[in-house]
Amino acid sequence: MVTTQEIQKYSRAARVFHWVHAASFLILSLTGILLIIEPLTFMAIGGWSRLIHRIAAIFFILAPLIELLANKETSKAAIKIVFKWGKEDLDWVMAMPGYYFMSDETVLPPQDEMNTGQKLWFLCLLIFGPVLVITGILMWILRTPVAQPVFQLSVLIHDFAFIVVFLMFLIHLYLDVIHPMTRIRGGSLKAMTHGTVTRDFARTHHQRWYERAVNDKK
Amino acid sequence: MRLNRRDFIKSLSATAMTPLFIRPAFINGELSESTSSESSNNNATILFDSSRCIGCHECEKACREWNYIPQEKQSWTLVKPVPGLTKNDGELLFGKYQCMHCKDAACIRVCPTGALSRHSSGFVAYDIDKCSGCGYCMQFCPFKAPFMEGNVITGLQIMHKCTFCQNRLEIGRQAACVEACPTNALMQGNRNSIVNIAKARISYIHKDYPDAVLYGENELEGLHVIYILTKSPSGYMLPESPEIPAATLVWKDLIQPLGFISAGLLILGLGLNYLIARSQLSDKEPTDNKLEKK
Repeated sequence: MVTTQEIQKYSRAARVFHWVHAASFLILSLTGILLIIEPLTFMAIGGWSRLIHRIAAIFFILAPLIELLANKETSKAAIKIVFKWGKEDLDWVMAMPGYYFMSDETVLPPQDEMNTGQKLWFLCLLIFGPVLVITGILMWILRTPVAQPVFQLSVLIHDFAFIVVFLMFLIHLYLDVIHPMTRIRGGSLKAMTHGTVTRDFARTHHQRWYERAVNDKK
Repeated sequence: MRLNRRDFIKSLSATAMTPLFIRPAFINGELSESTSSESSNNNATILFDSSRCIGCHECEKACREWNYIPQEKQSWTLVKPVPGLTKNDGELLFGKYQCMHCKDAACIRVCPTGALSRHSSGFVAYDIDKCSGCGYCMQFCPFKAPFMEGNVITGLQIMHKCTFCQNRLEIGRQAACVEACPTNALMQGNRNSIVNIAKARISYIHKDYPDAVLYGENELEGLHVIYILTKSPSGYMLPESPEIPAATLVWKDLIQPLGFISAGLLILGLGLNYLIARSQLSDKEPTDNKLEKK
């Protein structure tokens, strides 16, 4: 329930989508990483991890597609924002050390609904998500050596894209769940579980969005 | 039985020393073991001589029999007529297609579970119980030798390839296909002696097949299955100069190590950030009301 102290940030649909996507991503990562980390490879024997990988992949592909089609307008707007970069993004990057290391909230420049870090993460998924999906499908269907170079390139790109996305995911996980500030503030994690953030958090972290939201209500 | 064979071989090894007797040596498949009996067997090599193959498929049958491959499934070795090539007497020429047991093997590099490994005898050993069915070996093999069996959609597959009859080698026998060959188109033994025999054979058949080549002596640092081909390898649908795909090296020797290094650095950095941020926060807490715990 949204109290006067709270302000809605993510709709229920957006949250469901996020967690379905997150769960499928996690399963994909764990079943994929089995083939890379040597002490774990024995778990891939027999191929069951690869079957799970395929099932999770279906969710990983369908969740964003459904989200995109169900909320065409907001999705379009969000994608537009991700490709728009300006001075406030540079300011945010400059303020990062002060915020993330010195735990000083006051250094944050005014941000919109998505701050620069979140934009980066979203952009990363928008680019590498399809890359992972396309190369993954190619490896799925190429089960005879009819196009060896295509498969080889797919493995290579799939691996590279995974490394990029997984590192970004670690940062995302760290900043939104583990970072000391987050643990005190709740912030984005609560926004993704309950859909709301406190007014205080909205004002300090997403000032431009907050002001718009407050004005809209009036 | 082994003792008997060894005695027999010893008696032959004397004749092998004499070049005069090289010709009968071709006919006697046992000779190949003559030199291997002295040195260790760490260089087991099979020779296929296309000029002697009559396409009887006995090797395939023996392979099926020994390795329990039912008729409806693909045999680990395939004898096929080579299109457009014939022997001098007009008979068909055959190629034998299978795992070539490369010394520098792409499949071993890309196999994630260690199902493929280097056998102490030099060839590419395969432990089917470790196969994950990923198919990387098949997709990186310069000879497209491994093949998959199972469900394409679920990905629950298993790879098959020639195992060099490892379990026969370990009891002192030659590969099933070699023993079955009625024309000695197949021979098995220590690498040096087999290569020498192959070269002698090539010069012997030179007047009939002037383009005959030995395939696999140096390819990929030496294959453990070598061929006498009557024409260029491409005529036999074999790669002229097989190579480890560049993608293998970029993937295994560049991208993956970089991935591990960057992941390690990132985790280290985040841990450091956590410690600093926490200490800063606890310094601030008493004075900064904005950060009060809820």
